[in-house]
Amino acid sequence: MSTVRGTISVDIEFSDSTATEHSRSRKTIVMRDSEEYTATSGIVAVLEGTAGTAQTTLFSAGPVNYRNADGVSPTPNAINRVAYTWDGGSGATYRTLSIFEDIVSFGQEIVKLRSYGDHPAISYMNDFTGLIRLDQSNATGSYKVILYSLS
Amino acid sequence: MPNGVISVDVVFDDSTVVAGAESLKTATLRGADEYGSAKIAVLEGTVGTAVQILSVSPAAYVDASGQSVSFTTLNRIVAQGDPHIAVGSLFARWGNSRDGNVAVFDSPLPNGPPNSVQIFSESTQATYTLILTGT
Repeated sequence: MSTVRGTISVDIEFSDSTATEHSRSRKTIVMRDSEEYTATSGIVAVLEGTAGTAQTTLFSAGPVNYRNADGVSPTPNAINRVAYTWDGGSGATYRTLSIFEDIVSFGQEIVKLRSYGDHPAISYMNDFTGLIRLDQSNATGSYKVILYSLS
Repeated sequence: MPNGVISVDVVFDDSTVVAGAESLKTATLRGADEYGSAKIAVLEGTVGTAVQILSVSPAAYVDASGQSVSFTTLNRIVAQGDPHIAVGSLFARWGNSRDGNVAVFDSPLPNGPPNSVQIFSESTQATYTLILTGT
C-alpha cells in the first residue's frame, strides 16, 4: 500500500495603480491558498499524453491507466480534486475537460473545466467517480490531469 | 492597467516501502502566468442554493482610478467559496470550491462577449470571492 501526500497551492497577486498630477491611487489584490492532502487512504493518479481532435475518454469508473508507487493501477473511488492543463500549441483553442457524474447518463455533466496555453486549472470535486473526457478540439495537443481521490 | 501573476503549484508524492526499498513517484502540475495589462475585478458576497447572476459588463467593482470595470472578454477566473460554491453559466458548471479551497480555470468564452457569471451553493449560505481577469 503506497502513501500519498501532497499540496495544492494557489498564489495570486495583482497590482492596480493610477496617478494624476496631484494624486496616486493603488489597489493590490492578493489571494493565497495552500491545502495539504494526507489522507491515509488517499490515491493520486496522473493521466497524460497527446490527444487528437476527437473526444477522448481519459477515465471511466475503474482502474486508471497509471501505476502508482506500488506498481498497481489504482481505482479512484472518491475523487476530491482535479488538476488539469492543456497545451494545443500556438493558435490552438481552449480545450475542455468534461466531467460527468454518471458514466451512463451523459446529461449529468457536472463540470466543464477549461485550460488554454498550458494554464493549470483546478477544481474541487465531491467524491466524484464518473467519467472524464476531453472534448473535441480543432488542434492536437498535450494534456495532463492529476486526480486526487480520498479512497 | 493592472498587472500580476496567477501561480498554481500541485505536488503529490506517492511512496511505498517493500523489503526496505522505497519507491517514490512524484506528480506535479505547475504554472505561473503573468498578466501585463489585464482588466481585473474582485466580486465578493454571499450566495445560497438559488442561482445568482453576476454582471461582468459592468462588474460591481471599481479600479484604482475609481472607474467601473467592464469586461469585453473574460480570460482566467479564480473562485473561493466556503462552505461551497459552484461557478458557471446557464449551460455548464466551470468549477467548484469547497471549504475555501481555491478553484482556477479559463473562461469558456475567451474571444467572445462575456456571459454573465452564475454562482450558487449547495449550502444555504456560503461566502464567495471571485477574481475575474479579462479585457
